[in-house]
Amino acid sequence: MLREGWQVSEWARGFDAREVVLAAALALLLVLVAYPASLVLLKALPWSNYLDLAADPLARRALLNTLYVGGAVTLLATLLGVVMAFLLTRTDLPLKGVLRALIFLAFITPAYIGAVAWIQLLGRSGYVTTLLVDAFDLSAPPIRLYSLEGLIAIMAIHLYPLVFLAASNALSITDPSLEDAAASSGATKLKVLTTITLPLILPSILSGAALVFIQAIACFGVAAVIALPTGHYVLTTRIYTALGHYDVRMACALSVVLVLLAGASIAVHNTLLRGRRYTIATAESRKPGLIKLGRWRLPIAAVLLLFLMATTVLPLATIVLTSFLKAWGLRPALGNLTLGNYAKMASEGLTARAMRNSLAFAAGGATVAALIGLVVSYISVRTRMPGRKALEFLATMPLAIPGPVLATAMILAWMNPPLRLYNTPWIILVAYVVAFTPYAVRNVSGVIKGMDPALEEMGWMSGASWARTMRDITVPLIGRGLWAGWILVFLMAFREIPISTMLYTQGTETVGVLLFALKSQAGGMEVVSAVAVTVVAITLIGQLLVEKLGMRRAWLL
Amino acid sequence: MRDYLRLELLTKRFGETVAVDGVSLEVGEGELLAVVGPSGCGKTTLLRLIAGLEVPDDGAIHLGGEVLFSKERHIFVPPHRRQVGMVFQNYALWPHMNVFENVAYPLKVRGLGRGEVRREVGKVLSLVRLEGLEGRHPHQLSGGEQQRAALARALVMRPRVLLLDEPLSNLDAHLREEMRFEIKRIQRETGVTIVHVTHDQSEAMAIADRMAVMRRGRLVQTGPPRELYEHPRTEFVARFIGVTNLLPCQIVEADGRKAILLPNGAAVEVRDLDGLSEGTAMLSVRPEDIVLSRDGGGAEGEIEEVVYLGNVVYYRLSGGGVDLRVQAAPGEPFQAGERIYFRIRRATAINRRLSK
Repeated sequence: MLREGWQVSEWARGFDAREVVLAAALALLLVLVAYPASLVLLKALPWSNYLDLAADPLARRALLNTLYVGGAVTLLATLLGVVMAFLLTRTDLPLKGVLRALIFLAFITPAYIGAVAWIQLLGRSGYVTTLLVDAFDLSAPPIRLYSLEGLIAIMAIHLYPLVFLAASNALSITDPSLEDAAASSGATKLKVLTTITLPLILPSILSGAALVFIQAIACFGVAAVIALPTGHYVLTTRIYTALGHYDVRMACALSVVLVLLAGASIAVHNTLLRGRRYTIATAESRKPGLIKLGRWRLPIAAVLLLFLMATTVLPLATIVLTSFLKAWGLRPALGNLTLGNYAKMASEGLTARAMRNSLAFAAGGATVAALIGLVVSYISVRTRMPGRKALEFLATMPLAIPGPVLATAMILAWMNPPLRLYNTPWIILVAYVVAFTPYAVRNVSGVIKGMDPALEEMGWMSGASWARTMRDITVPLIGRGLWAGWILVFLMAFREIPISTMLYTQGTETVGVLLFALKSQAGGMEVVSAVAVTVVAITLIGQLLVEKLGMRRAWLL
Repeated sequence: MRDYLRLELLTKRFGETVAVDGVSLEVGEGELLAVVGPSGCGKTTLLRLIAGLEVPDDGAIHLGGEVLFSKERHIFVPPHRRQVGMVFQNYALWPHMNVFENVAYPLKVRGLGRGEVRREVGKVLSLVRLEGLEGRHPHQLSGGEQQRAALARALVMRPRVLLLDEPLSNLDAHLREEMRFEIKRIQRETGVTIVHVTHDQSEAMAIADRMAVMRRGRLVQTGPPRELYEHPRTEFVARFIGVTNLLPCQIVEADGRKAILLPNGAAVEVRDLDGLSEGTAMLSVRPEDIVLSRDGGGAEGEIEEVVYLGNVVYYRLSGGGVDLRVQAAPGEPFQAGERIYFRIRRATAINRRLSK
C-alpha cells in the first residue's frame, strides 16, 4: 500500500507493522529456502559436472528410468482418473457413494504403505505368491513385483485420484447447456463427448496429470523398496545413494535435473489452472442429465468395484491382518493372532520414540508452516507491497523440490558452524517447515481470498490498528481454514519418509524412518504393519476433522 | 463553515487509469453531500481516499482543521487514526460477532469502560431503531436490519464524517425508500457530516443537501439538487440528473418574445429561456416542460408512443425533426398516432455553443 519515495518515519503511525512483518518473513525465507537451494546450485554449477553425469551410466539410466516411470504413471493415472470421473459424474452408475469413498481411501493411503502391502501380497514370500506357487507348483514367483513396472503400477493406483478429482470437479462445474447446445445441433452422444465435453475439461485433466507427474518423479520410498532391490535406479534413489557415498557433486547435479523436471511440470500445472475459468456453470444452470448405461450398468459397476477392492481394500486388509499376526508368514489362523505388535509399537524404545518424534516434528512443522503461510498469503493476497512476489516465490518454491533434494540442501546448509543443525532434531523440523510451507500457503490463501476485504477495512475504520484488526477480525474469521491447513501439513509431515530418513540421527528417528528401515528385516514386518495401520488411522481421523471444520474434503499430496 | 472537509486537487491512479483526477471539493459541517456518477466514475475511490483506505498520488485532504493527507508535506494519517465512520455497500458486519459486539468494537478499541460502552451502544442502537436485537448475529438479521447495525457501528464513535458507499443498493425498492428518510433523520438528530456515494441520482436528489457529479475521475458540477436539475452545466449532467431532451437550436427574438428554431425550421415559443439571447445553443428541455395541446399554438408533432403510469403519462413525440420525451398529467389522454401541437415552457442552455 505504501510506495517508495516516502520516508518511513513519516508513515510510522501504524501501518509500518506490515512492513516489519514482510521484512521478517522475507529474511526468514531467504535463510530457510534461498540459502540451502543456492548451495545445491553452487555445488552443481560447474558444467563439467554434467559431462560427468552424462558419462555415468547409472546416472543416465536413473534419468531415463525417472522419465519412463513418470510418463507411464501419468498416462495410466490419467486414463483411470478420467474414465472414473466420467462414469461417476455423468452416468447412472449404481453405488456411486461407495465407489467415491474407495477412491478417497486409495488416495489417503500413503503409496509407501501400499508398497509394503504389495510386498506382503506379491513379494517372494507374499500371501498370494505362496498361494500360487503351492497351487501350481511353480519354481519362481509368478509376478515380478520388484521392477520398474511394479513401481509404475503401485504409483498409478495411488495417484489416479488426483486426476479423478480434477476431472470430476471440472465435469460438475461445466455448464451442461454447452453440451445441450451441441446435442440440439444434431451431434451424437459420442460426438458431444469428444468435441465439447473433453475439450472443455482438458485443461483440468492436464493440470491434474501434471501433479501426478511431479509426484511420480519425486517419489522416493516406493522406488527404494520396489525398484532399487533389483538395481533399478530413479533420480531420487540415485541422489540418496550418491549422498550415502559422499558424492555430493553427483547428488547436487542430479538434484538440479530433478528440480528442473518438477519445476517445468508445476509451471504447466499453474498455466493450465489459470486458463480454465471460462467453463464455470452459473448457479442457475441445471444439473447435467445422466447418460444411461443400459445393460452395461451393472457389469461396469462390478468391474470398478472389483478394481477398487483389489487396489485399496485388499492391501489395507493385508496390512491390518499382518499387524495382528504373531509373526509374518504364519497362516492367518485364530491361534496366530495377537495384539502384541501394537503393544510393542507403543512400548519398545525405538518405535515409541519414533512415534513421539514424528508427532512433535509434524506438530511443530505444521505450526510454523501455518504461521508463515498466514503471513505470506495475507501479504500476497491483500497488499500491493513491493517484495510480495519474491516472498510468494520463496515460500512456494519448495513444491518443486523433491524430498531427497531438500534433504541434501539441508545437509549442505546446516552441517557447519555457526548454525550446525545437522545431527540435531532441529534440522528435521526446519526441513519440514520448508517442505510443507507451500501447502500451508495454498490452503490459507484460498481462505483469505474468500474473505471480503471490507471486513478488515471496517476494522481499521473502527479505529483498530492493522495488528489489532489482524488479531480481532482476520484471524478469527479465517481460523477454521488455518486449522484445516495445519492438519493437512501435520498429516503430510507425520508420514513423510525421505527427509527424515536422510536427516535423522540416533534419537531423532521418525515414523518414516521406522517404516523405511524395518521393511526388509525379518520379524519387523508385523511391527511395521502396526505402525502403518496407525498412520492410516491418524490420516483418516485428520481428514474427518478437516471436513468437520467445514472445509471441502482436502486431498493430500 | 463550508470547508469542514476539504479535498484539494486529489488524484489517484491505478496503473494507467486515473481513478480520481484532480478533484477539489468542500463539505460543510453537518452537510450531506451526495457524490453521484455512473459506475467506474471514481466516486467509490474518492470515498476510499477520504477514509484512508487508499493512499492518494497527489493533493491534500483536510478534515476539521487537521491535515489527513498532504503530498507536499508528506502526511498520511492511516485509516484507524482518522475517526471517520463508514458503511460499506455489503455492510461488512463481522460474522463472528453479534450486533452488540459489532457496534461496541470501535469503543472497545478506544479503551472505553464496560459501562460506558453499554450506555453508548444502547444510545446508538435506539437512534437507528435496532433495540432488542443486540444478541443476534449478522446472518440472523434482515437486509434492512443489517444496514441499521452497520450504521450504528459507524456512528457509535461519533465520527467526524460519515462515509456511505452505496448503502441502499442492496435493499429492495420499498426498503430503500424508507432508509432514505432514515438517513435524513439520523443526519438531523446527530448533526453528523455525511458523504454519500451512489449511482442512483434519484436517491441522491432525495437526501442530499448538495450533490457532486463525477465523470471519468473528474468533478463535473456541484450544487444543490435543484440547481443541478434546473441548470445543468454540461450535456452529461443534464442527461444524468433526471431525464431530458437535448436540442441543438437557434434562438430568435421577435417583438420581445423569444422562440427557438427546431432543426426542421419550425419555430417554438419558449417562455423562460434562462437568460439566453440570440444565437445557436444546445438546449436541455425537461419532459415536464413540454406542453401538448390539440388546439393549435406552437409546433406540430405526432404522438409515437404512450406509456401510462397512473400518476403520469409519458409520450414519445416526433416533431420539428426531432424525437421528444414528454411528461404530462393523465388528465388529457392523447392516442398514439394523433397529431398534436406542442409548446416549450422553459429550456436551459447547456454550456456549449454550437458552431454552425
